[in-house]
Amino acid sequence: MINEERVRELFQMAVFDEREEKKCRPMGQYYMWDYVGKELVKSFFSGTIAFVLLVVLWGISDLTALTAYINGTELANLAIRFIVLYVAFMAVYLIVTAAVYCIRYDRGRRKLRKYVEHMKKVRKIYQRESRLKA
Amino acid sequence: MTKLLEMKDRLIRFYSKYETYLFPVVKFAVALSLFCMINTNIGFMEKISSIPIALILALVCAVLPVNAMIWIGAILVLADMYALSMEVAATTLILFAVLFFLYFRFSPKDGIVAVLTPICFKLNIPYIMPVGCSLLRSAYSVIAVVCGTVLYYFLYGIQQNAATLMNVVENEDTTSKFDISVGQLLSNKEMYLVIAIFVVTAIVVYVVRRLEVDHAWTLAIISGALIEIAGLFVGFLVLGITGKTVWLLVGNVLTMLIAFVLQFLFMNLDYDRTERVQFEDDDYYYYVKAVPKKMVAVKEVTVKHFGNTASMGKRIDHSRPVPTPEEEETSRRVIAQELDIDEDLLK
Repeated sequence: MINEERVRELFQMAVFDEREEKKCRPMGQYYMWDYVGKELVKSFFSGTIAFVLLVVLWGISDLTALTAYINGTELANLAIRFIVLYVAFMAVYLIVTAAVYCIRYDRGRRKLRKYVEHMKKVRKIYQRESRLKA
Repeated sequence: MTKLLEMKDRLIRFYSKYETYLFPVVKFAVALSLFCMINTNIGFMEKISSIPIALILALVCAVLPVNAMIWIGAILVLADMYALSMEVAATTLILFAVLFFLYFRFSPKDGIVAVLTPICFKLNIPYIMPVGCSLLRSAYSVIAVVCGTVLYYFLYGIQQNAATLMNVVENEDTTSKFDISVGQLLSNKEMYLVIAIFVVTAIVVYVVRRLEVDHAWTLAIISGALIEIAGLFVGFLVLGITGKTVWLLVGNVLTMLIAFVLQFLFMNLDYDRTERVQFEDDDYYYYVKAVPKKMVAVKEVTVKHFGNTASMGKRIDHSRPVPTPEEEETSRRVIAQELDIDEDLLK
C-alpha cells in the first residue's frame, strides 16, 4: 500500500529539486560572505561595462561637447568628473548587489533547511518501513 | 459569489489539467502580440515585418523558454532600427546592453515584465504594471517595469522621429542621428514623470498589501490607482502635456478591474471568519491571526447505474478510506516501536 505521508514528503522534495535546487545550491556550498563576494565580483564587471556603455551613450549623443572637452584644457576636469561619477555609480550598484544577495542567501538557506527536514522525515519513514518488513 | 468561486475552482482545475498545452498557448499569444506591435509601430525592415514571420516567430517562442521571447523581440527591434539607420541601431544596442548589465543580471525572470510593459502602454493600461507586480511579486520587480517604460519611450520616440531620422540619412550627418535618437530619450520629461510615479505606486502598493489590516489587497489596489491618477494628472499639468487625462482615468479604471480579478484569483479571503489565537512555547508567545480563504465545497457526485442494480446510487467517497483492523494493528505496532512503549498502551 502507498504510504501517503512518504509521497507527500517526496513530492515536496521533488518540487524543490525541480524549481529551487539550482538556485539554492550555492547557498549550501558557500558561507554567506563568500557567496555575496562572488556576486560582488560579477557585479563589479557588469557595472563597469554598463557605466562605460552609458558614457558612450552620452558621448555619441553629444559629440560636439565631447570634442570640445577633448580639444580644450578641461580634459583633466572631465576625467575627474567621470572618476567621481564612476565611484558613486559603483558604490550604489555594489551596495544594492550586496543587499539583494544577502536576502537571497538568507531565503535560500531557509529553503535548504526545509528540504533537509523533508529528507530526514523520508529517511525515518523508510527506516520504519524496512523495520516493519523485517 | 458562490457561482464565481465555482468558476474559479473550475478554472484552476482546467488549468492544472491542461497546463502542458495552455502555457505554450499563452506564450504564443503574448509573443504574437509583441511581434505584431513591433511590426505595426516600428516595422522599418519590410522583409521581417509581416504577419507570417510574426506567426512563425511566435510559434518558436511557444516551445522555447519565456526569455527567448525577449531575445527574439530584441533582435527584431535591432533589425528594424538597422533598416532605419545604423546609428539608431547602435544606440538601441547600447541601451539594451545597459539594461541587461544593470538589471537583468539580478533577475532574469522579470524579463517578461519588461516585455509586457510596452504592450500595456500600447493598450493604454500601463498603470496595471506597477500595481500588478507589487501585488504578485516583490517590490523590486518595479525595476523591470522601469526598464520596460524606458524601452517604450525610446521606441515611441524613434517612431515619432522616423521621418526626421530618414531625412538626416540623406544628408549623411551621423552626429545628428545620434543626437536625435539619444536626445529624444534623455530629454523626455514625460518618461521621467511616469517612471517616478510608477516607482512610488509600486512601493505604496507593496507596503499596503503587506499591512496587517483587513482587506489589505483592496486598499493597496485603490491606493495604487489613486496615486497614479493624482500623480500623473498633476505631472501632466505641470509639464503642459495635454490630451492624456481621459485615457489616464479610463486606464486606471481598467487597472482596478484587472487588479480586482487578480485579487479574486490569488488572494480571496473571507475576513468574516478571521480567527485570532494566542499560545506559547518555551521561547515565544504567539499572536496568530488566521484568515481563511473563500472556497466552495466539492460537490458530492452520485453515479446512477442503469442495468446493473447492484451498484445503483452508490456514492463516490472522496474522504480517506477507513483503515482495516489489520492496518490499525500495524500502525499501532509501528508507533509503539518508534516511541519505544508498550503496544497495549495505544489500544
